[in-house]
Amino acid sequence: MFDHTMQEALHKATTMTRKNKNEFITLEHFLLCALDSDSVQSFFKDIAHIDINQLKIELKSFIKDNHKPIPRLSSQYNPEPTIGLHRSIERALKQAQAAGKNQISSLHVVLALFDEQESYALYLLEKNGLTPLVIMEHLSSQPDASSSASAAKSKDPLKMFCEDLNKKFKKGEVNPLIGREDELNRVVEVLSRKTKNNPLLVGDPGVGKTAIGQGLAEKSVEDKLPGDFKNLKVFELDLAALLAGSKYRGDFEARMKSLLSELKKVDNPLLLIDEIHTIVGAGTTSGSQVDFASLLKPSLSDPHLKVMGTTTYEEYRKHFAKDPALSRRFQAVFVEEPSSKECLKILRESKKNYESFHKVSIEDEALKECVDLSKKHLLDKKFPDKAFDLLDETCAHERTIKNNFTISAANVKTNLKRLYKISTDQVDKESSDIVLDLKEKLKADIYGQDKAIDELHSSILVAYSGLKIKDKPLGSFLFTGPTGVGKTELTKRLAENLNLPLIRFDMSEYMEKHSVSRLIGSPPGYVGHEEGGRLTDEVSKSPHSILLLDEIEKAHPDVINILLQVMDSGVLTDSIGKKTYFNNCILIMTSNSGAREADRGSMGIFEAPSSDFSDKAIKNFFTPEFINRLTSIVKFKSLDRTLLLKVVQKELQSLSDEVKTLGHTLEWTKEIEAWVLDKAYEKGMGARPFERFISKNIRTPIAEKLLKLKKPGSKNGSELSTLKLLLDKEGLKVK
Amino acid sequence: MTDDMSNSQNQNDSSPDAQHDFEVKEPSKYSVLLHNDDFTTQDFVIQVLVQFFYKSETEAHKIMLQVHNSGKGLCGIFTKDVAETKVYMVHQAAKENNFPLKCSMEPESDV
Repeated sequence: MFDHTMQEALHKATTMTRKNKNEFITLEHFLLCALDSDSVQSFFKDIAHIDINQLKIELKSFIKDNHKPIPRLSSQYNPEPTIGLHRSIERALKQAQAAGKNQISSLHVVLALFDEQESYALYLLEKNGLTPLVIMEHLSSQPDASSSASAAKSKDPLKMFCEDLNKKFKKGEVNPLIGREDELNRVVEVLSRKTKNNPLLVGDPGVGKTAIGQGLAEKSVEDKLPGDFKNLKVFELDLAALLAGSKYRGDFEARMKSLLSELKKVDNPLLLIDEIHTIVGAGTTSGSQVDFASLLKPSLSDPHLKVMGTTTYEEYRKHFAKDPALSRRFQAVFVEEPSSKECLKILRESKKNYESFHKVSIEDEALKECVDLSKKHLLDKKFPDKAFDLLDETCAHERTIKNNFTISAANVKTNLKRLYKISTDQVDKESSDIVLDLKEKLKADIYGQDKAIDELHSSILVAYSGLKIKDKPLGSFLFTGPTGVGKTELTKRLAENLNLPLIRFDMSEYMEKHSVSRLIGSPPGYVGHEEGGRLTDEVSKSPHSILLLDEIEKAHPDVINILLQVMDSGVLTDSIGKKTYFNNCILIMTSNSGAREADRGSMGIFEAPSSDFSDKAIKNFFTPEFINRLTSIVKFKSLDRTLLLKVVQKELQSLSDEVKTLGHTLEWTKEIEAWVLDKAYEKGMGARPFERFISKNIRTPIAEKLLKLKKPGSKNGSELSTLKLLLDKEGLKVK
Repeated sequence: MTDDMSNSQNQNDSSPDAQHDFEVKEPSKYSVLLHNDDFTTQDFVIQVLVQFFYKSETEAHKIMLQVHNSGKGLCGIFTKDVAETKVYMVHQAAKENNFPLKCSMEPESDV
């Protein structure tokens, strides 16, 4: 009856009248509110060329002066439209009815106003030069929104709510199905049953369930179906179209009924419902028990109408299995992901489609690479979806961004790296150089831990050469040793040199039993269940990385037990059930246990080698199954004086580099180095005291000097000056 | 295309075009009057005046006497639209109460 502009205008007019405590909703109230809608405003501005603001001001002042508020409001106050407004609305409705339309907009009522002689609203409109002809012309030029809606009602429900897949296939809009013979045969078996011939395809997302449904249409059109299934007509249900626009109670049910009765008339129909778990609960109003699934149940038992559905395992469990009356009418057909060979075949068959769409040519090698790489690296997706994804993305990127017309295997590789941030360098030429040089580079940065670096390096060599054991992480190392000798530092350098992200967890944050839930997520029912765990999240974001767990001896034993799984099979399942794969990570744990014992030395006359003590301490702390799973325990030595001297030199060098960036140079003598070494040395504290010392006693005076130089009046600060570190009686000075 | 070309369209065609030839004038206000008759009670007239025209008791009484003595009384001056609605409401109420009370409206003559 009324379209949305009309409803809005009436509603606003009522509200305004109520607010003003006016007696009636007059024509002036209505006109003022009708002017609020965008379509009316654009009409007045663009077509009638009338200043709306002026109109509104005059209307408002008229209402204020002439429609006074009621002095005594009764409790039953309910403003009604005036006779004139009633009349105008009726006139507009009658006119629409006579013209065969069933909806009026506020403009129609404005047009009808022209019959209300001597109304102020009309006076205002006419004063501004509006004629009914202008409105009539405008309204006639509007596209008819209502007619399409009403016309749709008379159309065939099959056309409205379903898509004829046979027709679609004949037009060539459906991708052909390749392979999947077994699944198709099983589906045809189910369809040949006497009763409950409704197959339900269940499988992981991306394995090809919908494709099988479409493949049935293809086979039917090509007459490749066995026996009685010639002329199988496949209709894909559009549930959204069925639900959309159901206005009143029973509308949805009526649509369903019409659809089902139409299907009965068809000879050999198959109704394909994608994502069939959505029908459970669809179309219910609150309180009503009758949803789509319940309405469908009786038809499911009818062997004439065959219904085929697709869903995933999880959705099946969550929604479908809860309704046993529904699930018993279906026969589950499990769809597994195709093998790599099959997937390659599928890719080959679809090559033409991708080539014509992206206007590129794809080499066969590229297809093979897609299959291989996605199998190796995209572990949480399934074939053929992931292979197609990779191929599609590669084509899109190469074509649009790089304007490349041939897709080769190398393109696929670079795109995998770019998209999923996975380095496939493990057998690349450039990366093998990096790995071979790694030893030297690390030794240049970390002093005195040559043995440790050697061990680490040999494991990495093995991993990167491709010889690594499949299911475990690239390497699981335990770094032990006194504090401040370079354990964390070595890990950082390793990450830098190998270009891998470093994921760091400080285990002192996980000292309690429940901290495990922070790493892998809390169990269902607990707060934060949906969020997953930090460890699984970080690693799934960057599957090629170095995972550093600092101070592992501080973690709760339960946390350490989680790691057992990781080190053995390289998989961690979080609370939601998602699996994270660690087999491209390097796992490094640092610990200080054994350090104290090693330092203490032995009792008795003969000095036992200190390494024995640390070994014993480690064996005492960590469980045997943990130690057993480690690739190796890398022991870090404490640093002696020569090494510490090197550390001092390195620190001073980095300080001088910083000063250089500010435009000055720093000079010092060997004397200074020795002095620092003596002053700052703390037994057993490793390299850290030197940092602290240099920071306190050298950095601060230099900073002072730099600021003094910057001051205007004294030497010009931008001049390159040399700062000399000098030692005199009082201590260090900077000049 | 509308089927019924006869009634409303013609009216629309004639009057606005005719009005367009001369200047549009501001619409006048209308006075609403109540008329005397032999059957409607005084009480009812007062009730109408209070309920529909928001008069106080004394005012209503005064106007009622006017109606009774001079044959008609002024209830108020309103826009045509509102006046029409009030006339309608008075007639409805009178009919419900079985009184032949007549209410009319005329343009404000004393501008």
